[in-house]
Amino acid sequence: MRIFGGIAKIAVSDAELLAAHAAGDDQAFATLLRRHYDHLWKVARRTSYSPEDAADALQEALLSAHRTASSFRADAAVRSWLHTIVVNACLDRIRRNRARPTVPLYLEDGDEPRTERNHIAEVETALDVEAALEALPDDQRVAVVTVDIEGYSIREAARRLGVPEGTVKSRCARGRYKLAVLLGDLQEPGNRT
Amino acid sequence: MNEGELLRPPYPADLLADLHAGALDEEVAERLWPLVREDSDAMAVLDALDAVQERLRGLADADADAPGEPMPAEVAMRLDDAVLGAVRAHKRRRRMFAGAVVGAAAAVVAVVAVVVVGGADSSTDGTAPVTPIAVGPDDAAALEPDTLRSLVGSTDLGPLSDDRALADCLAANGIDPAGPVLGSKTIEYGDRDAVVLLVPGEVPPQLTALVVGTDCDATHPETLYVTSIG
Repeated sequence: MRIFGGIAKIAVSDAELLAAHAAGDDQAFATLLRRHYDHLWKVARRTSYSPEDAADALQEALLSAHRTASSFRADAAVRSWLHTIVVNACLDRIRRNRARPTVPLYLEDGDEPRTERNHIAEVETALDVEAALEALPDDQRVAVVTVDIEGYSIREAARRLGVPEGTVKSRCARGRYKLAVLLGDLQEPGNRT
Repeated sequence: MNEGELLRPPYPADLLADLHAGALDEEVAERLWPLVREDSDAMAVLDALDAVQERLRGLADADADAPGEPMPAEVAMRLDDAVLGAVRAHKRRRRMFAGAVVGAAAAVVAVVAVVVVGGADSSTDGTAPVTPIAVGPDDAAALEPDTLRSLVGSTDLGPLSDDRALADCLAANGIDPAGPVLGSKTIEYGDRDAVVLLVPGEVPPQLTALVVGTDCDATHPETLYVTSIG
């Protein structure tokens, strides 16, 4: 059955697309997801260590969304639902990657990538927050995104990421401080009098 | 750093950032806070860190409107293929096994009836149940409408006591996490630890009772049983 597949551009609510999906329309669920692709990509990118991880996590998240779509009630916001599933899939992926002994994805805490200082130097202080976030080391960015943007408690963030709570706190501390420098609110480290 | 350095300004920025984030040892933080409050340079750093957090929170609010880097076409195509593949595979499976599922479900009901009701297998007549129940609760009476209704006002969320865990679980089950949970109770459902959640039904004063496994989260709805009351 194909109810909305051919007329996807006509205004149809998310709830109607979900109903069409439940009614057997092959295309309806993909159409629904496609509406949110750019938003979900942005969320996945900032919550992942690489574009490849973001794409993998997104695929896992959307397949998981498909598995649970039948129990999703139309009165809940589809976008928020997808957003949460994507964030959790990204964090779960980071935790799983940490458990893999052969692929060190990032340096230990305290050893920042060597290019980072240059990277920061290249970034103008008037950057907007999103661009500044991109300049952070991955572990700090993900901690700040999880706690300050997504609103997870330190405990939940630590559980999801598979690291101690103290690690999340210190990553947040360093990340926020660097953001304050990048955004021009504080002087660069070493320039303080 | 020795104690003398710690207690005298100027305080290193990374120390202040750790203090701000609660990353310092509790005892050190307790001694440092009153000193830092007296130091205007240190307070300026803390204010800047507060401002950063504020801006980050603002980013969450602006998410709906803020355009970002669009999803690369190759990623979109890959996701389209994966999702469409999953939808079609699910449909195929459903068609192929539809008959078998009805039979199996009836068989499960028979088994559950024997286990839960204790031999009262006359309750099954070969028809499939409206609500799929894989296993029953240890105490079948726990899901009687009157028992469920009596849960209104009681809170026993078990592992879902964390606000976010509860919100994630509700969302995964298609229930608006912003809405009220009218009652809750931890139960055993078959061999699973589970939680009964009572939420408003679609038409007031109807109630919806949802039984979920205790590992329920945003990606695992763990739905064990759903019923409407009233």
